[in-house]
Amino acid sequence: MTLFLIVFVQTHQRNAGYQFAKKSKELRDLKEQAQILNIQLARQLGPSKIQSLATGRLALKKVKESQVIYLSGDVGEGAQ
Amino acid sequence: MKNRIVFIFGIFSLLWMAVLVRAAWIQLIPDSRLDKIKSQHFQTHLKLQSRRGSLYDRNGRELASSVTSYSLFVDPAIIERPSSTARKLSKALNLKVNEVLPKMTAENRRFSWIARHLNKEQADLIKSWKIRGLSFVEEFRRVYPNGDLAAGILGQVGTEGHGLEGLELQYDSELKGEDQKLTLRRDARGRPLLLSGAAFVDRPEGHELRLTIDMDVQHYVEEILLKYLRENYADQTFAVIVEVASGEVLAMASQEADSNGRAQKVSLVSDTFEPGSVIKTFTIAEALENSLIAPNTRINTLNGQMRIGRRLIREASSDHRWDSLTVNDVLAFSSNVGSTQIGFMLKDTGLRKGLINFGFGARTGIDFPGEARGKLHQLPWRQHLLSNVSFGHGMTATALQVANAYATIARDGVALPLRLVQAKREFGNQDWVKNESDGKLNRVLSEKTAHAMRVLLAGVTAEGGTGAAAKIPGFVVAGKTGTAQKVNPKGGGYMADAYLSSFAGFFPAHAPQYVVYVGVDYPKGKKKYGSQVAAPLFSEIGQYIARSQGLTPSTVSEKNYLAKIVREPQQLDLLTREDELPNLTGKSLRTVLRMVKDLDINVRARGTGTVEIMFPEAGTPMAEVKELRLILK
Repeated sequence: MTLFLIVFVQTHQRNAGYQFAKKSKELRDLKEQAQILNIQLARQLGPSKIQSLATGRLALKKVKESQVIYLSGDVGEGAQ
Repeated sequence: MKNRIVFIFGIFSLLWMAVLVRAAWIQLIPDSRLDKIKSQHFQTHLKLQSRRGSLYDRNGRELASSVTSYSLFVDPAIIERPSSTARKLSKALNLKVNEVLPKMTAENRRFSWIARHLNKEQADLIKSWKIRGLSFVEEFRRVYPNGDLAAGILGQVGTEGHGLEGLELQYDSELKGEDQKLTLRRDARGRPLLLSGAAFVDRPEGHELRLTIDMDVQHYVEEILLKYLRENYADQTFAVIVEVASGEVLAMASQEADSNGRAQKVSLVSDTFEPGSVIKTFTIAEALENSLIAPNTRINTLNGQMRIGRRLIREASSDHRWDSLTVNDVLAFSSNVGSTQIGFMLKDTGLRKGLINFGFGARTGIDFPGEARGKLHQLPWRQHLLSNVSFGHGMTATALQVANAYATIARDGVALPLRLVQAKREFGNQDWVKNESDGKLNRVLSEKTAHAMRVLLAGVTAEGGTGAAAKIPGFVVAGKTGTAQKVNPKGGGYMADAYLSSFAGFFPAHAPQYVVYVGVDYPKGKKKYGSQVAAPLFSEIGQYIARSQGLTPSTVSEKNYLAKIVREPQQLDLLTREDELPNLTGKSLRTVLRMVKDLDINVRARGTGTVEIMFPEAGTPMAEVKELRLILK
């Protein structure tokens, strides 16, 4: 009976091991995939990509000095 | 017969029992000899290669990362059908057959790389062929999602995963982490067993670094440097932007004429050059600190020429023939003679000490490999060298040293080392640990002198100053132009008409937040001087930073800010009818109007800047002068 129990436990332990190994490999693969997706996201959000999207697809122009309104005041040093 | 059957059955039963007992014995009773044999059969040693840590910009955007790649190798001793395999591989991997085939047919070899760092799809395709003798090793490949952006700062990683340049080299040991060695128990099919918990351990990873670089600012700077490089037919353009409060480098880039627009090399750290007039700031600051001069002290500028032994010190332009200038105007008009006179007041010991205090001749302490020290000659200095150093020749510095010295003035006289890494994070840890600099705070100037210098530098960008083109709308800018003659590489002396034009400054002048140092090396277009090519570059970068970092425009106007400059009593400049008309060349319209304000003279001026041509000529008795015509430039 004891021998049977030992064999039974060891078999289940082994099966659980296989399952763990399989799941941990899947987890590693998913992490790897997430890493690749992160890189793709960084590529898409990169300044040059956004700039080419803005100027190419959306036909936006670069900001000109005349478009920017600066509100500089001449209110003396007390206002610093 | 029956007895014989019972006897044989008994024998077999005993044998069977013995087998069972022996099996139970082997299974249940520990035996070191059997354990050893078992380990040899089922245990394997595995080395888990550490994934190199990622690099992020100051806003947490990914600049560099590592992904798993697959490197293919061949065992020439057992490879099947080498010719057809080589053809298949060359087609799949876009290689030449005559590159692959010799590796497969090499004699006396059991290992040869076919291709490194393949992606998963390529590896899966080759694995599906099930060709004996072809195997893969998992490695990591470094990926830079933004291509060449900040390439010079980030550096490179070799195929073996070691940092070769830039921050990848500087922080190599922290980024690469430590490989993990595991002992695994596997079954007959190679699957790991549960008892060996290590099979489920995550891959080790190196530290992650958050840089001080702002990706958007870096991108903008790289682009505008390229634009100025091309427009001015220059050999090189460079820029460095430092956050005043922390000493963090926001962006740092250089573009070279032969690099096809790829900002690969950061020469700001390793290349030294004669910085030129941007050094006058520190000559004057040191003299102010030692109370040798005050902002309104009048310096004898000897009509723009000063003889030292056999050599003649001249102003940058032959039109600049000032009799005397205040210290404020020495800086604003970038007078070489004025700077020399102040240098002579400091003497070689004082000037050298001052420059060393500002960090020249020593590394800034930036966390980047290959930083140069620059050169300050040993004492004693001859008069001519003292004169040269007072306006930035006869010494060399890196662009980082110049930027850091200006940051010291902007920081109320306190020096800090520059930094490129803001924080670090260990593998598995969510919290960033701030990268505290080892350098201690070092007061170089008193707060009072630093404030005075900020006002004087703001005068440089005011109307009539050499740095007027560096203005940033909405902000008061403090800075200094530099037009350094380039040393002739083919012998002594300087090259004719070859300059390194630069502008160093910070803004807002009354509460500085960013230091920007820009340079255009050997511009060959029509515009050559710092005031013409570098100051506008400074202005464009400054405007972008103001917009992108959301700076609130200054509430103090340039006029109010410059009112801090204590001017010399006006009666010294006043002209009377008894005088002769002096040479007004190089004076601002403001000064001329002040000089003639008590006389009934009609002053007509054209252009902006300082007086270039005047009519009537100098020397005319004032009694005859009814109208003064000036052309300013």
